[in-house]
Amino acid sequence: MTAHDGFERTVAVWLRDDALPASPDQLDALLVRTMATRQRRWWSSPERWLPMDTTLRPRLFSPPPIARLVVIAVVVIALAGLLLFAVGSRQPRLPAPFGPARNGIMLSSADGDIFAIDPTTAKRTAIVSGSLFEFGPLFSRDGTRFSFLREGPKDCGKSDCGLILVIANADGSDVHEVTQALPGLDGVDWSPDGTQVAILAAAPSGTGHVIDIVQADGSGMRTIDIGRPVHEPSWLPPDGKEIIFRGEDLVAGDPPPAIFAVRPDGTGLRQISTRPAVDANDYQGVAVSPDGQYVTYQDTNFDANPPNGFFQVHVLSLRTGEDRVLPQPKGAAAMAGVFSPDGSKIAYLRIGSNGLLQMVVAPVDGTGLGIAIGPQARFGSEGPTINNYLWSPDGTAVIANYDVEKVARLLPIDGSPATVLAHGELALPAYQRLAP
Amino acid sequence: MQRDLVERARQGDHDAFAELAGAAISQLTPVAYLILRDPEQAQDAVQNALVRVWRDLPTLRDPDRFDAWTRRLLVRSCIDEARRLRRHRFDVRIDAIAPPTVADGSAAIVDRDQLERAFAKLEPEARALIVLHHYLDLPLPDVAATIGIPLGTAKSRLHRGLREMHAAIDADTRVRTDLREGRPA
Repeated sequence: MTAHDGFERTVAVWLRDDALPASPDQLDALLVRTMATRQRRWWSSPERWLPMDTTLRPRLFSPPPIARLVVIAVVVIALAGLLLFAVGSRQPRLPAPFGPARNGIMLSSADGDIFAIDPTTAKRTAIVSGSLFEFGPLFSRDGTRFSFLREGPKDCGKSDCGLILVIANADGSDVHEVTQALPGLDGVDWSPDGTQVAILAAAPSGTGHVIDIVQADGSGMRTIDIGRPVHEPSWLPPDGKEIIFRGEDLVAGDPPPAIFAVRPDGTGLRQISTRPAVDANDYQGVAVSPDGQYVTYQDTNFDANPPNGFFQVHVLSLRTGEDRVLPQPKGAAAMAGVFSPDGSKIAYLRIGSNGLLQMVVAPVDGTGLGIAIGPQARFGSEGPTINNYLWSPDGTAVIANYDVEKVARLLPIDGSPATVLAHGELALPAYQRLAP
Repeated sequence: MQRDLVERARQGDHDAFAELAGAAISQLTPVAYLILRDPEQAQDAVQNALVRVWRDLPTLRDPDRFDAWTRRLLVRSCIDEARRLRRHRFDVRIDAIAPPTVADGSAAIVDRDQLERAFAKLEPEARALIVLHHYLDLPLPDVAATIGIPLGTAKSRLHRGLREMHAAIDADTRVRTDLREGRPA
């Protein structure tokens, strides 16, 4: 026994003697407040919906069956060729697999309807509406279709009736459900070729999620269950041969969090993060660069850059395993990085030593502190008040929601003044990519 | 039982939340008071934390983590409240504490006022660490998870916090002794 042990006991005894019990009216006052407070939808957690990369790859076309080629006569081939040329020349071009693309329309949702926004005029047009609650639009990488989530039936007899994944053409036509109602449906990401969609669904164990691969034509789905909860799935460019995700540590017995890759058929699981996790909150905000060379994520380390630098944005090279931290001013934190369409920059949220939030665009190679874009905002009682940001496809601006002012802003990355894109936040916005 | 209440509250069942909150308030209020040292601020911190619990319950992935999650929100709320308080009190002058006019008989015995003053000098995060570990008896890994810091950091900060308290009390005792014996402080 040491003198210090004795002092610890003294402190413990004093704390027990000094503790103040709750007053009887506290609960009533609380319940009055909570009666007037709406619960958040479970999908509204920024942690669940950190922005993903905007990489893109054109659709691949299956070659015609050889048998068909055999039976087609030379004259018919020539005729078909002419016909295909004529039809093909009228089809819209698809954007290039990587690099900046032309800006299309934006999609967002409000009150259970999906609407399109013209980014130049801010005009809104409902394109999916009705009595069903629908939200969370996300364009396919070629911009021709989009997915969204539809609330499942309310009378299923379970506590969570789930959500349905729905796909439609970019103009809102041909709406069709591609899954049944799935509890815990979350984290949607289109495959590079647009034939499949990776989603999260509640794990059979009841804790956390597994990855499901859904056929975009609605022909079926399969589950990738690696035996531990997962989150934040992203198809790995350029070919989508692997899916990157975060392995989570949710309950006792789960291994520490880390970043993994697995093939879409569930084979070839490999860990790609290279350092041991600091704690269960490590390795969040996972996003993949458009060229498939890098992964960005944020760590949690209260000792990293005091007083506020407890989040740091990392860039992990998938080729060399090098893991570097993007530099920050003294005392600042950084979180939730998103790669620019050309992969050379990262937009992220900086929490300054003064506690204020600032969107920043910085070089991926870590050669500078980057430039601040847009106005600062205060840190809210529920976390960051700048949310749901994403790059414009042409890479010239970042769109971000400012929760306190309830506006969506367009933040040019050349430092020119930000403009208000929409009054009222744009819930989980999506931006269409078009060929230049 | 609690899992069922959490599941129901996640679905928007306010009665279930009321039951959860009633139990939580009696546990959380002493913790908030010990961290903040102010009954009103403690009540505010508990209220804010539990309003957030209600609002964000649907986003809680694992109902079995309700208690740990609630504690975490409370600690965050307390730290926010302490910082807010500090910002608003920056112009308040802290006067030297008058020594007792009657000797307590033993400078070696730590009294409650000394503990109070030494504890109040600590940063809110350090106070939270000490309260979670020495009042709630949470194991250090749980303390670290609650505050959101690595285990090693929690250990070192806890040790440092107690050492700072000890040093502050020693200094306080020396001042008292000097004043009692007529030496300039």
